[in-house]
Amino acid sequence: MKRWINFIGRIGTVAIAVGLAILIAYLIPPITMGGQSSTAGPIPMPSENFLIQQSSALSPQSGIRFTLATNGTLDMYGFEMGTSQIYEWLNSHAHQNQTELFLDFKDQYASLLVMQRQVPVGNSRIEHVPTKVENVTFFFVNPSQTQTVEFSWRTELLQTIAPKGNLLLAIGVTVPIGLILATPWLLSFAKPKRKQPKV
Amino acid sequence: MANKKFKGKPFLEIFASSLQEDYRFPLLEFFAFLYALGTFVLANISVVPEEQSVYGLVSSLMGLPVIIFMILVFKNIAYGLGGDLEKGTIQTLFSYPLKRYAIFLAKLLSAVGAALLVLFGIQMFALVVLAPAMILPYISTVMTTYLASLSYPLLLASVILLFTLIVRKGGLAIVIGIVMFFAGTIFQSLATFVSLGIRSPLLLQILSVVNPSVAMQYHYHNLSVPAENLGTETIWAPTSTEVLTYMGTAYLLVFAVLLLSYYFFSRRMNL
Repeated sequence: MKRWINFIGRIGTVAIAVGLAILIAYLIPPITMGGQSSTAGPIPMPSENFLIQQSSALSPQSGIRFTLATNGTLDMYGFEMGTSQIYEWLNSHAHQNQTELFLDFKDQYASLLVMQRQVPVGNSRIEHVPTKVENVTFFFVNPSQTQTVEFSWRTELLQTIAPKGNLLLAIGVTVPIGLILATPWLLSFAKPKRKQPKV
Repeated sequence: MANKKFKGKPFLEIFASSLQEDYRFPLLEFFAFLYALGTFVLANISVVPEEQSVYGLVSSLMGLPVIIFMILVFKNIAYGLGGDLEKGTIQTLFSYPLKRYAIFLAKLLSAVGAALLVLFGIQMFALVVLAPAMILPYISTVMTTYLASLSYPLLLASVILLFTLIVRKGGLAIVIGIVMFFAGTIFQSLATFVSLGIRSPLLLQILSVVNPSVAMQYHYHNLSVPAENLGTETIWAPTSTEVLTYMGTAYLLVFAVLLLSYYFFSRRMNL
């Protein structure tokens, strides 16, 4: 029994060690790279119902951060495809109005949708760090048919160790499991040892 | 039935005591911490086609972590088993009601198997945390890259084991292992230069028999030189079947050295 407690306890301490390593990786802040920084706007919408922002190829260690300022709510979408492919499709469907055009596009390429967020009124920051190598094109869409929205944005490339959400999940799994497994082993040290009877 | 139970227990007894000796607290935890942190810090994801990117990611983890793994394995074999031979504590193990192959297996599993399990398990977990959408669809590429990259360290570990059993001293064996590891790295660079110079992959092909990660590297990034007509001339682009053949040969070599070690352990040691 004692051997099993030792064995499981050591698995637990290894899990805690792995969790601590992931915690260190989590605490390392991302480095912002100015390479792809760009600004645009203010752009009146719905005179242009959607805007397209091409990003360079992203990876789990290379994400993108948008710093946004808007006076109305916007929808943001990321599709895993190149801009040339998108423009080709848009040009071939140019007869439709822009709102319908985007909805059709979204329906047709739903499988390539990798990100969907809402941009709130005012200043905000949105980050996207994918879990594989992706070439993402972002769309900013004005959901309102009547309200004109003005907005501006700036993009920066983010160099990260790993996607923060995944790291946090891994810490949340390894550390508690490690603590549960290691506790009986660690408690066995606290028990007073039986004294050997004097002969 | 009772006899079977009786045989399993001594095996576990030896295996557990070897594990206890080889991975004293907090040595294992320290190595686990380094493997996990190293995976995140050393990982390099290049923006190339998916499979190449997965290969690049896994092979970027085969530098420092594998050296750490080898230090651990060399220590376990040279100081663990070597120490048992030098001090004569191996005699105690021979007094157990077990065949010598079972004692050999218990020692091997503790020294190499457990270290391999820790390296592979932690790196795989960290890779899945880092890039799940890349790793899971290309799990076969990940596994073959690991198999190809770990065959040479395992061959070195087997040679060290054999050497420890022959000379019955751990210190010398560990030096031989480190020298062989660096000699292998230098020979690989040399073979690449010579192959490019003479425009023949023969040296690299010979090297791939003991280290199939060389063939795997050129499977994903062909060895080529500028040609006279402004294009490029491919010197070596091994197919996946060729890579698997080299890998099979390399593991056969590892197995052969381990068999030879067992032969020394069971027959040639006058214990």
